[in-house]
Amino acid sequence: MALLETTDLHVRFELFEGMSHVLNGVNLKVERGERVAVVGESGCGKSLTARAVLGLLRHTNAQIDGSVRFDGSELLSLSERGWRSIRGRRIGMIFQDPTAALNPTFTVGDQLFKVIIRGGRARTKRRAREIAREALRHTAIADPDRVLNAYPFQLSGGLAQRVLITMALVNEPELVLADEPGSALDVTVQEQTLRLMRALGDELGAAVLIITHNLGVVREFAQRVYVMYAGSIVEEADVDTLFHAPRHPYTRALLEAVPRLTGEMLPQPIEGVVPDYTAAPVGCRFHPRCPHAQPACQEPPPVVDLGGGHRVACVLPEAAP
Amino acid sequence: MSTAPVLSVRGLSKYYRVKGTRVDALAGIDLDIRRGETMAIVGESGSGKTTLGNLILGLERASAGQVIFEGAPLQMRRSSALRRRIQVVQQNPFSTLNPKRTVRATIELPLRAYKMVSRDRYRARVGELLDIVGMSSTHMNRYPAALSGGQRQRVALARALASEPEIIVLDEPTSALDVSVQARVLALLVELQRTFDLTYIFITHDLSVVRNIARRVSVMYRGRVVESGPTESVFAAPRHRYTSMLLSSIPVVSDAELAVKPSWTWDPGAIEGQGLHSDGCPFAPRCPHAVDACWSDVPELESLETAHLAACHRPAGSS
Repeated sequence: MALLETTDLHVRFELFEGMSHVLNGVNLKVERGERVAVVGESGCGKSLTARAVLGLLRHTNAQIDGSVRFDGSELLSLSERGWRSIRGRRIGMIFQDPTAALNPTFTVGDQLFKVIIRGGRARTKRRAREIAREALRHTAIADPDRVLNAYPFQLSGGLAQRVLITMALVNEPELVLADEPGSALDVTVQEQTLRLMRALGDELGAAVLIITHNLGVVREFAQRVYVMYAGSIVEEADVDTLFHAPRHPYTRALLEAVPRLTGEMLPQPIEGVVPDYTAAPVGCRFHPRCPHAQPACQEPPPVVDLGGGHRVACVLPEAAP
Repeated sequence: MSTAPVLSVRGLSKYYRVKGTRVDALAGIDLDIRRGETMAIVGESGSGKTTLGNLILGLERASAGQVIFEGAPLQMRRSSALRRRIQVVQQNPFSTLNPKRTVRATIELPLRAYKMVSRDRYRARVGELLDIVGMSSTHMNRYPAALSGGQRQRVALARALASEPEIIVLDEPTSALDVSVQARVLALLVELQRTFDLTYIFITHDLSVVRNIARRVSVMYRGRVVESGPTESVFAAPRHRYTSMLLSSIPVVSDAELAVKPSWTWDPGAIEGQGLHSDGCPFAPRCPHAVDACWSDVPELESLETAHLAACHRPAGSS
């Protein structure tokens, strides 16, 4: 049984302009201890998927259909009380901008102790402090007490990011959901963040679901990857396969848009824009931008299984590169 | 292309006072930029790259040193004729366009301010400029809120082009954009440069973009240029350890890129420099190769081969 599994997940919002059908049947799986990435452009529904999984759409006007199962139990029907035993305990979260994710009016310690006490790891603040100190040392913070007594604005971006990693992992969750971790930071600090998440995740045996727009991050961090476009998964594969033999035209286009360090080719733009979800294209949502589009693309694309966990939602999975 | 630099920077410095202590945002920068070239200024946040751009634009007053444009020093207060010739495109297209101005009003402003064309030609000229950046005249009466990120950045470019400048300071012009849109804006920049013989000062933290667009690159760290040279040479054989570290931390997508990335031994503790202060090389607290001299003496920017310079006591390749 997969640790996390979403089945035919749909999210719609009722807007003044009409029904905005954003997530259009998302199927994804994360096994225990696995590092999985969801990659796509902004506005393609990556973060919305994460929020749906975390139950953060409950008090919005979102209409959610489908299923999200965590360790066998359905999350979508979970009560707020039930969520409290999962969020921050069995599922940890890391968000994009570390300085915005911390409350500026409390010290780092106060926030971290609360997480530890809520997670049931400690009853007293004194014990929580011991656990926090140990956990911060683990992220190569030499002087944990200085960090614990500091307010978030007194920390550099890199330190704040490590505090957030600590917060996400301190209760030894089974799954960590990381939404663009470190992408608001410098590239050297981002690299450090990814290395740390990887090392700590391995140590705890935690699975990591990382949401990112950066294909380089995917390649360096993840084992398996889902490529998302306009609310649908268009391709899934292990990282090696995806980067060496991408099959979906969108995956290929996305790869060609990345500027290369070797400078061998100018990055190629993808014509057109991500569609408006109140009037999303019928059939394959990528077909209006696809160089290989044909009449059959007006129908929902079949999911073709190419073996070895490589699946692609395209009528032309063999399309010439 | 003439060899005399169109813009030079000599000993340019900017200090700020923070709670009584002096903070050097820029500590004596020397640069030469030739007409028609793209010079990339690369560095992480806090390296002083935006301050450098602001001083060149006259948005801030230098503490010391000079910006020399066509042989004459530029003051912070400069004539409108001079301002016209050096323009800027900034990073965030969501905050650099006035939300209450239509596209037309935004692009018309420099036409009026610099008296580029007669009043009855404004509308036609705005249409031409939109066409140049690949937008249509139908966008003229839109507000920024109705435009995508890529379109906004095109409007910002059209506004910069309206005054027919010679130099454009591009301060992270694509870093708020998706890769698919970034690719289109980069292609447009290359095309415009060819058409109008523009000189670009391209400020960015993204080395992959630099590799694809700039002929020369200067790497900045804590207010100093630590390495400078032709892009190909700096990428193929970085000399300063900071450049190596920066290159090694870029997440890449292909095997070919992986092969050219320098190796770097990561020490998680050293990443922040542990708050240590160096009187010498500013990178010493994070550098695994630092020796005593690195902590005490500021290394000068020296020539290693023609035009490829590094400010390092123990540059890579020297053992």
